[in-house]
Amino acid sequence: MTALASIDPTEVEWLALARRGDRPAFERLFLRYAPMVHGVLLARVQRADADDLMQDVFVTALERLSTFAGEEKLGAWLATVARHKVIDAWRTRPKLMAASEATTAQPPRREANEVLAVIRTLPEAYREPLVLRLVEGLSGPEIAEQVGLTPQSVRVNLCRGMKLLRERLGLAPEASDGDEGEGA
Amino acid sequence: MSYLWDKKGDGDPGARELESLLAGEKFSGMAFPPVASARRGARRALLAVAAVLIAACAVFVVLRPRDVVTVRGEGRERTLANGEWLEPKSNVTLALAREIGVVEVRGDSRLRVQRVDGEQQRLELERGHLHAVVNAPPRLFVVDTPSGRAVDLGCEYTLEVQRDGSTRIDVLSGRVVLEGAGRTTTVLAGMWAVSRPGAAPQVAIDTQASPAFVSAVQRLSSGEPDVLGLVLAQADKRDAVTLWQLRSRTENETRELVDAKLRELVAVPASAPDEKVWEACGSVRQ
Repeated sequence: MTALASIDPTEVEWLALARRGDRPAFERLFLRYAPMVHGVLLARVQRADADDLMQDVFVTALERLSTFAGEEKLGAWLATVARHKVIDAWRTRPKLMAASEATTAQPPRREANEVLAVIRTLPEAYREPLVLRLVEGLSGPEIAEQVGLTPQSVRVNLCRGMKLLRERLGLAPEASDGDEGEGA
Repeated sequence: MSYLWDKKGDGDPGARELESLLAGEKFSGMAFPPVASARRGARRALLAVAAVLIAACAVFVVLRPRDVVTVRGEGRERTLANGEWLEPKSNVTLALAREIGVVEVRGDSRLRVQRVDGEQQRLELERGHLHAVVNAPPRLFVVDTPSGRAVDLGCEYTLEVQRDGSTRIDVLSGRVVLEGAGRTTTVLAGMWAVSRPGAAPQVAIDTQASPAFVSAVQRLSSGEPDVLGLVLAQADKRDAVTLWQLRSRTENETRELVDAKLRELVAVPASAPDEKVWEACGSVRQ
């Protein structure tokens, strides 16, 4: 017996429609994944740039939807498109990179953009889950489902990332910090 | 970790504080469809021109004829105002605004217009029967019933609402999405589905499905236990879409049983992704 994919069957139907050029179907997919894509971008660039790149990500997704083989989850594919867009933008728009780097040494003031800047200094594996959880409001299981990672992987990265974030922000450690080894 | 992981439980004030602080940074929507950055510059220039045009259009909008649904039948022709109930004694025809289609309404039906504009034309069929032929972009034409909502994706269909509010839809061409109780059922051409007030729409069934299969599915939909085996035993290729929808409403071992039968019917290997199964469902019906 095959291990059944956890992809929402309705999503597959919308995906099939979107591939045939049905804009409302694509919009439905867009609404489902937009917060996740936004979080992936926000983990790397500032808010204004993330908002700008959102458009480019979904334009590319719309153009390349016919090449999406369905071998991976749609969310994972969109997250990859988003990460590549940031890399492309860094190449073509050095100001974007400069803005991102300029914030790495900021003191831990409790302003949203300051906290985000600190998050962007964390190891890459921790940035996305933290932004998706703390900014976009997705739960751990939702992050795993949308980005196409295992729950255990997301759980570990969330826990370790949060621990590191607390240290850099000068927050008191949570009593349960370090329990990522427990079952997901 | 519990609150950070699944947003449940108490504790972890640090995470809550950061959540609260960062809430204003979350995704807050953007224009759709998306526009490539190369075109956005040109779009900004066009916005200035558009501002002038908008002013001119405002005059036109004020002066232009309003979108209306026209009723033809019973010896006369008239318009149907928003919210006005229509209870014809004999069959009448509604001409939808902007010439997107016609709706034949049987006598003794009760229907009203809820909204008519460029974005949506929405009717409410409280009871009776209608036959809609629509040529419009998806989701522009919508019919509400006591059991939920029929959202047109460009098609021809009939809708019948009983006095208890239960609804049956038969799709003749294109496809319709039935929405209700937080769930949707896609009804393709050549299929029918029913929904009841307060309940999710049932799975769609092919009009050519065997009576034994229809009976088994209806027993399963009404909550009768131990009928799944009968449904799977009676299923034929034409029933693949029904099994597809049934699969999404089952879990664990039951879901695996439905999936195995579905893949057997459409001849798609177990390793193939769901999308291939869905495509095959459409192919075998054709």
